[in-house]
Amino acid sequence: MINIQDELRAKAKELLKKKKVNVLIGYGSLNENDLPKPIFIREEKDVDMLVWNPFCINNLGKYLLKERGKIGIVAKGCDVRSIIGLIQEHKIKRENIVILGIRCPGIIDIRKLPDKGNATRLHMERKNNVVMVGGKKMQFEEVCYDKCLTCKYPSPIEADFRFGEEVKARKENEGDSVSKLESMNIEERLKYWDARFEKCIRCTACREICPFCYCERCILDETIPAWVSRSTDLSDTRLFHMIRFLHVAGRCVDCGECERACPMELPLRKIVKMIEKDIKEMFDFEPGTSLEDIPVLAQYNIEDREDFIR
Amino acid sequence: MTEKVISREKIQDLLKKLGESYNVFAPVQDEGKVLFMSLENSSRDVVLEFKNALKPPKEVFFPQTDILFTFMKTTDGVRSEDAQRKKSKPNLIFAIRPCDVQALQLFDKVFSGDYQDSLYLERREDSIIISMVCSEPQETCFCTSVGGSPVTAEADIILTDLGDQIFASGLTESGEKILEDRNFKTATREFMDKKKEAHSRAEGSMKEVFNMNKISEIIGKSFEKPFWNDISRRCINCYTCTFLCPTCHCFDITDVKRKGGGERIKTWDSCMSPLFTLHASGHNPRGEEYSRWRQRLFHKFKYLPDNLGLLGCVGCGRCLDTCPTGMDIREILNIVISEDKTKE
Amino acid sequence: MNNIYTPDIMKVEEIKQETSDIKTFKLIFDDKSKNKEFTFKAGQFCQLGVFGEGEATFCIASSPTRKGYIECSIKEVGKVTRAFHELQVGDTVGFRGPYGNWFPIDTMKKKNIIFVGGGIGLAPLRSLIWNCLDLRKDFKDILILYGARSISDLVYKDELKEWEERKDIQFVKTVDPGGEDKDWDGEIGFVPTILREIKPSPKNAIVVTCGPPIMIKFSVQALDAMGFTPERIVTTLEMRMKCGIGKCGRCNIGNLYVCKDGPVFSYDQLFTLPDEY
Repeated sequence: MINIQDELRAKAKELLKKKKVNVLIGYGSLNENDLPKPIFIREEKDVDMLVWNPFCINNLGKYLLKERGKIGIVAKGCDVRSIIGLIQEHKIKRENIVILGIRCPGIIDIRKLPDKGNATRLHMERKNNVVMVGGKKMQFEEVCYDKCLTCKYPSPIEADFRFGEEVKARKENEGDSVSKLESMNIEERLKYWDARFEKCIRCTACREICPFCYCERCILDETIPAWVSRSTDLSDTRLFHMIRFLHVAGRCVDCGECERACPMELPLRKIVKMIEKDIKEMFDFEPGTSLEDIPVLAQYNIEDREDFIR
Repeated sequence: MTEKVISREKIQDLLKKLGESYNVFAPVQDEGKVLFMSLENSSRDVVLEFKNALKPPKEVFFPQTDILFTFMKTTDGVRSEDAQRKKSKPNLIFAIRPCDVQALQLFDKVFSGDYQDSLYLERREDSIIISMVCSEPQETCFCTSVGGSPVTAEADIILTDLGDQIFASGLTESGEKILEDRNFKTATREFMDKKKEAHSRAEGSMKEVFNMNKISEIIGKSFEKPFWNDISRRCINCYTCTFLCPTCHCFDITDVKRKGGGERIKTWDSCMSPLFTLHASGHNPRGEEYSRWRQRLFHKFKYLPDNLGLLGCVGCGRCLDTCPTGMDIREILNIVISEDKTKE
Repeated sequence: MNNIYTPDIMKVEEIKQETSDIKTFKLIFDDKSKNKEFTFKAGQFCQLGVFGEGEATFCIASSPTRKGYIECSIKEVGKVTRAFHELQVGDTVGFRGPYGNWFPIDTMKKKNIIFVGGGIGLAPLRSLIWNCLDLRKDFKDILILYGARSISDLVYKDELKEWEERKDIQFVKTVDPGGEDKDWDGEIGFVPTILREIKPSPKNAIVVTCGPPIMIKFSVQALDAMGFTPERIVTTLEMRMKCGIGKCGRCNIGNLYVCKDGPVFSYDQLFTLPDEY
């Protein structure tokens, strides 16, 4: 772990010094107790703020849209897929970014630690699959993010520099959650989601954190006409999420940021997984896995099944 | 001041009784989260073992969506009708933390004054606030840095968790009346000592995270400082911090069309959104991301103290605890303070 | 308790097309007794709404001396204003108000008044202009300088003619260069330029201005050069508002709320406020 951080810092220093990048987007902490946060390093002297540890969860890809010029970015395997997606969609140019890809063994979900890890995370050690949390042994699988459990691409598909040891892809265990939901009938499913959407406070964190929600004017904010009202009535909240998810279908790479950002802890990745499955079944497409791909819903193939047109 | 104790197992019974005369809102467990919910038509158990609720109970008086009135098209125009705000019973909030109680003082000022907001005030009228001392404040709590305390509140009753027994101090006439319930027993010396101990332990666990001295003045001088863009860089402008803030009270007014009419609604709004101040012409006085962060800080630490004499922050720590990008108001205040010092 | 968000019902009595995208609406209260009781002061604003579309903020453009109705001039720019432009005579709207402060008409008495307006910015000035003209004896010299991008962008054309013909005031109209036609008998040039040419004396004078930000900026500079002190220059500001009564939290400039502490500000006030409007 310490190795990766040192290597990252050295590479960041070099890139900034040689002016290969004018900003480096990475993870940083002011104090060592702090959880890592997205930081923007513009000068060599600030490179020592850069950290890498098992809490570096944010997908920094979205910030690529905020910066100008040559941008360096620290990206985990999952994050790289969204960067590929943004390149495919011509939001960024490959030649303008330098990807510091990290072979990621998984990230710890502080919500799964006692007291959100506030008291204990300082005393955390990880050896293979065992994590010591405040003197207590826990299996890594118990405390990592759900998405890490089924991670197919822990090593970056695309990167300029790679850090860390090779990590084996996890067995794709296509979420029992999806099959469980699929086995429900429509009424049960609606009931399941309504019980959760009822809690939604429409803070838009899911949208703002999503690398693919970059529209300058979002349909969810439109007032002429107001497709979705500002009311937190269930019908509006259902619509809010359905519209957003349909707009990222075929683009979403399951970076899991929407679910992580949600303060009300809605299980949004369950929808992500269902969409992912549909896209795979219908178009045999996996978003963000190749720079050469054209986003599936932005292309036309003569062989495309057309049974949805009636 | 009446001081009593109630045994932990009697709490459910007490709440059931209170439910006869009040609409009781209390912390309940919801898929691992603690939220304040109305106990009416609910079979959920109240939890007392919680640090703080994910969402402040401000929505008891200031719901996220509030119907101002309904309207229907008639043959000669439109008729509007005041929304039915049925309130058969006054509201009671049980086990609200002192910081959230402090936030209500601000709400009371905002929604009264020259223009009385009846929607808020009618819900607040005759309401009962039963607060609960924070025996174990969270790492993210900083109430004492903004003039609050984990052990005192402007409530009707304040409870202190002593384990098997809950200590209850009546602070108002209505509070003392509730303490007349048979479930409460007179507090013995022993419990009083235990309570005192719990309070000093709680107070001792709070550390000052920034120096509040002259904070309004210091913030006031920082408007033109160059650091705002830098320190707000990673903010993604979602509304989490404002919606979960116990003092944030800004709202929007919009219309919802329904068949043959509709309703005008008041909904929570957020200064973090560029749409908050966007003119129809396209002009936006706070179009830049950093200007919205600055506004949020200025509103809380300068404008509200200037206008209403109260800080717009009670130190509950929800904003920094739930921020998806780790924006930390303590850190930012400290930057503002230290930048002010370096200049002098 | 009264619900402060419930509007009074008003009916559209008359609609006048001012320019291609500006209409003036004459409104009367549905409750006839309200028409008699209702008073306001020049400079105040109201929240007008079309049910189902929402409310927006408009200054009252008619004079408080003309009782029994109000007039608002509305430019089609967004959702609510679009709904207004679709209204017909006899249609219903909602009214809340009057809100905000007003032009300092009492301190303006026995003084020379200079109005500097641009485009639809004449609307709030019009309320005060008619107020002053209806009480003409209370004021000394009155100068009205009004400009727009082009002839077709001038509002209240009939009234401009009336002011032009009046002997007891000085009226100057102008259009931006290129906005004139061959029959145009007014000035050609930007408002601040014409203001410099007229060069009114700051002695015992108060300026009231409203218009596009760029016009105001250069007019204030010109006035400053002529020796007008900031407290003698008064303007009215526009902000996105929802409640109109200082609660919803969006129209602040510094700690002042445009809805409650404004919309009328003098420049000595504005110079102390952050540049966030």
